[in-house]
Amino acid sequence: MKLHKYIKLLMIVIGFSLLTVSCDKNLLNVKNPNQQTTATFWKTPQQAQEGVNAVYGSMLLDGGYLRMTQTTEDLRSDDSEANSPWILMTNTGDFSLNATSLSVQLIWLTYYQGIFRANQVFAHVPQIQMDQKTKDELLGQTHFLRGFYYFNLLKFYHNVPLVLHVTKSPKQYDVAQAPPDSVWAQIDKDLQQASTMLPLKWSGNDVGRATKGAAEAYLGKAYLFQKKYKLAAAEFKKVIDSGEYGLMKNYGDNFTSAHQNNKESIWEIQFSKMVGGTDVGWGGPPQPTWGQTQARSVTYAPQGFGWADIQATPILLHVFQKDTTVNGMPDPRLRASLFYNYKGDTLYHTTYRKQYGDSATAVYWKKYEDYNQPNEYPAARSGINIRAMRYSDVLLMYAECLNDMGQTQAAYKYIDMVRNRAHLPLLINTKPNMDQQQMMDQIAHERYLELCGEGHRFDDIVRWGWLYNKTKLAWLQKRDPEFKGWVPGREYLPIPQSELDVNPKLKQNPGYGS
Amino acid sequence: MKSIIRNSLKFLFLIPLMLWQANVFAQSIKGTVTDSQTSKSLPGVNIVIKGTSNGTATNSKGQYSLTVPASNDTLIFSYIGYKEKVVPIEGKSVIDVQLTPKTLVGQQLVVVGYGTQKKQDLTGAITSINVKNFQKTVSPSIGAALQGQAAGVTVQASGDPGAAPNVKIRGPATLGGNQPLYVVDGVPVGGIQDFNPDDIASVQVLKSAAAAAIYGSRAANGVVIITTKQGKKGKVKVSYKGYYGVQNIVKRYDMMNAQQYQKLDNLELKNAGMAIAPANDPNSQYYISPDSINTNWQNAAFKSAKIENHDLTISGGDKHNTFAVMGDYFSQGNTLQGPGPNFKRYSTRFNSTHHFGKFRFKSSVYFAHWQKANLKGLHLTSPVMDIVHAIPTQPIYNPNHVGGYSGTDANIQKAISLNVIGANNLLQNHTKVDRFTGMVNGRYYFMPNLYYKLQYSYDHSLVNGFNFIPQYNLGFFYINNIAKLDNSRNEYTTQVLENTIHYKKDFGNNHLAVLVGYTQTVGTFNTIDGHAEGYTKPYFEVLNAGTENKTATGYKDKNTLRSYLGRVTYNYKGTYLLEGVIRRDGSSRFAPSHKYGTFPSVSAGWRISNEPFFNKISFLKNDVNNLKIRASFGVLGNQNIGNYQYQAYINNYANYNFNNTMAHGATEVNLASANIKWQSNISRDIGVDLGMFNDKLDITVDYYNDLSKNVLVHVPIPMTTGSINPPTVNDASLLNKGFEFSVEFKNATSARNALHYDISANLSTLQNKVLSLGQGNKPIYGNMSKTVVGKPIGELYGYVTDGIFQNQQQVKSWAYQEPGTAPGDIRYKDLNGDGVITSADRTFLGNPIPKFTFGLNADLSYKQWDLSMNFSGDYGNKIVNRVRQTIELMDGYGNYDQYVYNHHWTPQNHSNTVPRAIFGDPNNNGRDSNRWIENGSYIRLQNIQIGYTLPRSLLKPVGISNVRIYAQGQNVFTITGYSGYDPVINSVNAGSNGPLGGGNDGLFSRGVDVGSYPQPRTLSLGLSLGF
Repeated sequence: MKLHKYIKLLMIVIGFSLLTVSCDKNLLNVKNPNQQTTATFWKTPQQAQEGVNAVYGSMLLDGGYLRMTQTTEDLRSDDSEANSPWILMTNTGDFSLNATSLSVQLIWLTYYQGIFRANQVFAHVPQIQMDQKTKDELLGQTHFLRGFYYFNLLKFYHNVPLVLHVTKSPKQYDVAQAPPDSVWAQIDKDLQQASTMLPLKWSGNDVGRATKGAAEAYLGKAYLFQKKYKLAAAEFKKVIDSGEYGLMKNYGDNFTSAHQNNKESIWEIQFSKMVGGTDVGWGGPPQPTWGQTQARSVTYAPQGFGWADIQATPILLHVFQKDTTVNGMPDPRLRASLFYNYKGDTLYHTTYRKQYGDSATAVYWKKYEDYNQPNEYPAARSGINIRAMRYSDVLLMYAECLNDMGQTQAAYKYIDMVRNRAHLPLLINTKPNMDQQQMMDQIAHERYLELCGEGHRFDDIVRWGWLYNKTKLAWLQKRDPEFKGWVPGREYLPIPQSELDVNPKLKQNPGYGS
Repeated sequence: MKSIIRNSLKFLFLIPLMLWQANVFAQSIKGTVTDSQTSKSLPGVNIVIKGTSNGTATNSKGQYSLTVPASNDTLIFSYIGYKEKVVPIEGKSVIDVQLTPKTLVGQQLVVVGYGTQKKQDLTGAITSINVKNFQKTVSPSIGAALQGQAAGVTVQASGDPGAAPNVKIRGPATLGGNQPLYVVDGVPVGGIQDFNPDDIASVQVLKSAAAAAIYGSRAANGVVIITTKQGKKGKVKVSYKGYYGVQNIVKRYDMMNAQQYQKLDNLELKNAGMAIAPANDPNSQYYISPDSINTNWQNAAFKSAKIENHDLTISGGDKHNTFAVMGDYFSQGNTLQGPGPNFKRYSTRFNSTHHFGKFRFKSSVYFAHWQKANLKGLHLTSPVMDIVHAIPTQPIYNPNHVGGYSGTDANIQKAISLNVIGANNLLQNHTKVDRFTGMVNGRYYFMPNLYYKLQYSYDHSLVNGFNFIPQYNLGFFYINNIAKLDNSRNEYTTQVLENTIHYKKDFGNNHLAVLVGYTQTVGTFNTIDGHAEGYTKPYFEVLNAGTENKTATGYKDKNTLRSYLGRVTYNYKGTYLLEGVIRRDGSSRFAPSHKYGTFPSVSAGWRISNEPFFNKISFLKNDVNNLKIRASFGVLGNQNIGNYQYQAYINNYANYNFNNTMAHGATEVNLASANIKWQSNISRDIGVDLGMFNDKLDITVDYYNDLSKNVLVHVPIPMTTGSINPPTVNDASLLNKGFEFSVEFKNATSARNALHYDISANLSTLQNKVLSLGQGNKPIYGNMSKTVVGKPIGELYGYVTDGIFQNQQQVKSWAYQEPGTAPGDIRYKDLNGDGVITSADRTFLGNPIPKFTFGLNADLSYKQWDLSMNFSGDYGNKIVNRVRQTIELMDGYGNYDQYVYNHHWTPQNHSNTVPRAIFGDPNNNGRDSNRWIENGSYIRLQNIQIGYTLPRSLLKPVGISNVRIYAQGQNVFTITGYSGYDPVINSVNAGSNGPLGGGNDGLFSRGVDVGSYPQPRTLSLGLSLGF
């Protein structure tokens, strides 16, 4: 009887317990209410577009064109130097970066993030049902960007792993470095594909996307780096013959926010102060508060206007001052590029002499400073687009190819187009009949001035082999004592230590203790 | 504070009155003696007049009567099994006395998960914290108060007011958050710093699997069970406790003055072939004379702060109901110049119990409001680092700068020197939290020994984050033109529903207890953040007043847990003890096929002192009152990872722009692992409990061996995958083993004029070893650490120095280091002998985990005086002093210390320890090496307290039952070889940025002092009153 009562009560209790259990069968099935999964994404043309936009987005990170790509390109050349208290900057300039240096990690991280995003597009977009032309254009842009990212990786690190697919399992984490030739082959392949898939130009709110011209110009540049002059020349010729491009009348219009995506611009990294938040998106998972601005302007800004981490070398000023225009005036490119001591030089509405005194000698970069803007110090948020590939660069590279192919005479025309815009006397008149070596030296000189502070000079020094030429190296060291720190191998950055630490298949670059 | 003064004055006024009352009489006294718990009368109680042999005993009804010669005599009541009671006569003629049964240590009830057990019947490793000692800590934090209180519990507290200390039980068993689970009155809670330590009645630390398995899924890091005070039957009691103190950071690094700074800075630049900074050049228009500005940043930045706490408790109850109301105010000021960091907390708790018939109800409601001004940093390093590193030729103020504080200029001072005083004053960052925790449970007794219990708890926190950044100019790097405000509301809720059935039955000598239960937990998180910019002076710091970029962001999160649990406890005659526990947990955090995990445990004990043979050996019989050996084995789980991690997600903010319009970008940025599942920790424990001389001496020894398998971990993966953060995987296995010793020696006499003492010591050893790391056992590199199989987690790692190159010849003949290596640079050992110094020449440099940690508590009282001391310490661990690294580099950024100023290498002064001063550090003398590693062993007088309790005879007439005043010192002195501020370093998140994180995560990088905020020295005065 008593036992019976227990059982009855127990049943009631257990029944109640079960009731609470059963009323919420789906208790444990909790879906993330914030984000789509990779499995549910990648279904619509809109999503394909967003996936491709994200590939572009990588360029805005610190390791990309936000800052470190540019500082690392420029500081190692003889057009820029560092007097910054930030030793990362001085160490970049005098080739004493090491495997734990911040920029060394950031650049690596940034481009591989971009490649991951590109590889996602290749993994998913081909399966999306959509208009074929749009799809080709999307894939074309992605090929361009992946080629461009590998191009930058290769020029910075030389020995890099080639990752062409989304990593699916831990077994695929560790990828060994590919021989540079096979990375070049992949860059060529991506850029070739891009050039067949991309339109000549874009309109409206698509202006700034990769074009056929950009793909051809970078393919030409890639061939040039590989010393395949004939192939390179053919690509540059296509760009020139396309009729899409020309030189801006005013050289300085290439470095302000006023004339962005102009006819001289072949590949331009887009920044904007008008959209997005005001936080600078240095890195990490992208946040809604991130802006779309670059930090070049503030990093290079003259003392008093920004951080002055990077300055122009006195030799650059000196070389600029050697030539005058046909009217006997200073080279207009000088005053568009540098902030230096001459009467009336003005930046952010303040004169040089007022800022630093009458006898100051420091030379600063004016290029890419938003100097017409009110003195917004620091110009931490700059919306100026970075012109990574200008038409004048293509003209000079084409001239170089012609000269390398023995067509020295044919090269004059293209150099003089660039000189003419700067109102400099034409070489065909002042220095006719140069031999191949003289022409090469002239091209080097033209490129030094025309493209100063735009990240090309050090690439040129490396591909021309000057660092391994005793005379040239001594000459460089005289122009810019930072070159005294260079030792063989250090034209490339070290592989980041954190990467060597996790991937045993990687080898440190020569010149860094091995 | 006012109330303390007022009460003290009132009390002083009453003293003469009380003395007057104590005059002389002779009279007879009678009364009744009863049991304080059952109210039954006690026959045969011995009553003696103190100091004489005269006395009597109670009759069968518990009554007595006797004549005493003088009224100021004292009676002593004693009875077997009861605590002796000493009662002053004080002129009374009727003295009724209640005697309290003596509780043997073993019969004390210990709160375990979902119930209580007698201490003597425990089979798992459970440490009961001495709450009295614990509450002597001047801290708002329950975690911090655990320091030195229990073997196996290590605490890394911070001097940042209100910051959560890092508490670990028996070493790191998980990789990731490895804080223990806190259970307050049966409710598992996070954010333990929200709770008031003064509310606490008992703290139990469950260390072994058998003890903790009932909390299966969340118990891998141990469980701390806290119960709060309950009211007692009887008249209403009111008590007040309060203290007021002053805190100071006493230690300083010995830095260069302005003159020395300029001299060394000039040398650095000269050695690098660079022009000296204009500010340091007497010939420059920008020259700053060291006579005009010579800032000692440490002295300028640190200041003394107040700390106070006031706690009021009212409790009481009748036959069916009890209640306790507690109110507390705590405030800790900032030891840094500026509006923070500081912490204030107001809390109140209401606990009640109600019995009627077969029902019993219990409820507990806690509400806390706290606000914390946060420790603020600019840029990437910690404020502490920035304070010591700032240059002395920088003034504190500059009225011409926006914001009014000084800064440096890249080209003039050539220093990156953050004005922490400016930053701390200008930036406003605080957190306000309202936390409500309510718990109610009801029991229905089917029979006296069988009940069903239904418990529901709701825990809700509303966190208001406020971050206002005004326009300011703090010089190079630290300039802000856009004033902005972020105002966020984060809401956390946790609901737990528990159904349990409890059954207890004694069958002769067989004692059985059974528990079965079902619980479900739902946790949610919701955040909304409003952002606005473009504020101009005068600032109205509300979102409405912003003029630009007003944006709102938000997201929500949810996790659930479903659990089935059971426990069977059996003992035979209290001699053979056996317990089995099983818990099955399902968690929403794992993929559908891996949601459930089962966590069983068994434990057994043998109370040898109960055996007949034991009592045949006279030594044992006479001196040993308790001897028990126990062993346990069990499996615990861990689900302490973020939500939704088994899937890869699309980040929607990977944007770009064209033509000044946003081009929305979406992509996967982090790889995920679909196969993550429960981690399981196999925990083994053997222990001995020994009680001797009537529990005068208590010794507990445990050996533990915990194996964690399938540890959930973020293993760094190559950046070439493109993943910003590595996925969470079940990859590692870890072994933690060691011994724990606790000894307590006390006398339990209640004799009034005797010396009372209670001295306890604890010591625990920890050997942590990584058994596997998954993914081919690839090492995990942390901040100057490397975690590899076969070694402890986070073993320090770097280069080994070998003196200094004295001349060019030595540079040439040594292994190749760097292109810029020159005489005066440090030479590093070429460990692999390949003729070049590469990353392959790094090696292990020491264990950041102490060989043992210990605590020592002494409580002494004599007559009205009491003295207590608490020492704690670590032995055998190494610390990387990154602060010293920063101030000894001599590479160009900021100020350096006297030591390197006096000892650096020059061609004239051939030091063999301190290298040359050179801007840019071309040899990388600052690299991670044994140069920065120091011995972290220390012993600290954590607490000393001297108290005086006023005689009761003085108080009774004014209705006060108890007054104690005390003086206290906390963190009084530390004996250590560590040169930094504080050898107790805590986690600092310095510049954590994906794989580039440079902070101290308390785990892989636990041995790194990146400028952790030191604990201040506190001197305080306190008062407790009972009515």
